Amino acid sequence: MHCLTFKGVDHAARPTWKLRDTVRFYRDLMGLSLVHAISARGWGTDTHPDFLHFFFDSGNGSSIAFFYYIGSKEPAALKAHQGTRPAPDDHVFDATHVSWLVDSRDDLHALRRRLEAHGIEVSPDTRHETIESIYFRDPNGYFLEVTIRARPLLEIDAIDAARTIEAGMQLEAERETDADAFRSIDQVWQRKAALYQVAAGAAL
Amino acid sequence: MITIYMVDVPEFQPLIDDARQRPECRVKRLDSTYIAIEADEPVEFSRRALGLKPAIWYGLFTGGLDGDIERFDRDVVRIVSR
Repeated sequence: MHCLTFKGVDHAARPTWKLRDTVRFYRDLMGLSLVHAISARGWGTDTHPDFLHFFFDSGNGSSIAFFYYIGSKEPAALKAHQGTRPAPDDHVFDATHVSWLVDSRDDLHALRRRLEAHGIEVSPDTRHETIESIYFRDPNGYFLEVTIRARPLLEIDAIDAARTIEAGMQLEAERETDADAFRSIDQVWQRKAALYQVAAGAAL
Repeated sequence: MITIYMVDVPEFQPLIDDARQRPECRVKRLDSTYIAIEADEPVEFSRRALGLKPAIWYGLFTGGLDGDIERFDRDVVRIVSR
């Protein structure tokens, strides 16, 4: 089998209905260069045949892209998130996010100061296992994360990840015949312990 | 008996170090990935005492747990035998 290896992100794209606000936010406030723009006529569907598609540099050859569909109406479901607090209150909409990498905590804090100086609410610094992040919303309501890597991911993380996800997959399968089989994270942690004990017993 | 399987990474060291100080806990290296904390009686840990941020605290037993979580709130976790 051909072994596929991705080489990073080319672009991450989202729709916008706020062209000026989006350009001011990403280019002028965040300081990301506008590196490419496509303008197309009659390429989209009947309700929005013409659009602008534009790209801001996000480092290492990657970009943050937007579609601006001329004449289409902004969905209420997106509007509802604009100006809301920078917390993952909607576990579908806000979970669908991209986290952008910066080099240092100084960079992270400089970005925080710049955003806050423009009246944008920024979450407290959030230390996760291997990254440290701030969260905020862009003018479209999208939930953005900017992060620094606290330590690289190692083989040990991959070994443990395989056990965690194996436990989760087993429990998800068992839930098909027993609704109580997978109701909490405790069950994943206990299953992992059981998997470890079985593997250790087999090795004896 | 309770066994807490700790992934041997820096972010979880405070719990492993705390357990090493406790007479009721036995700390054993299992392999290159996991360190086991064993106890014959219920064990309780405090987030503030360990100095852990919430995001790490709430994933503290991600390595695996042979035990029942009797209490797990923002500052205290209590594990008992299953």
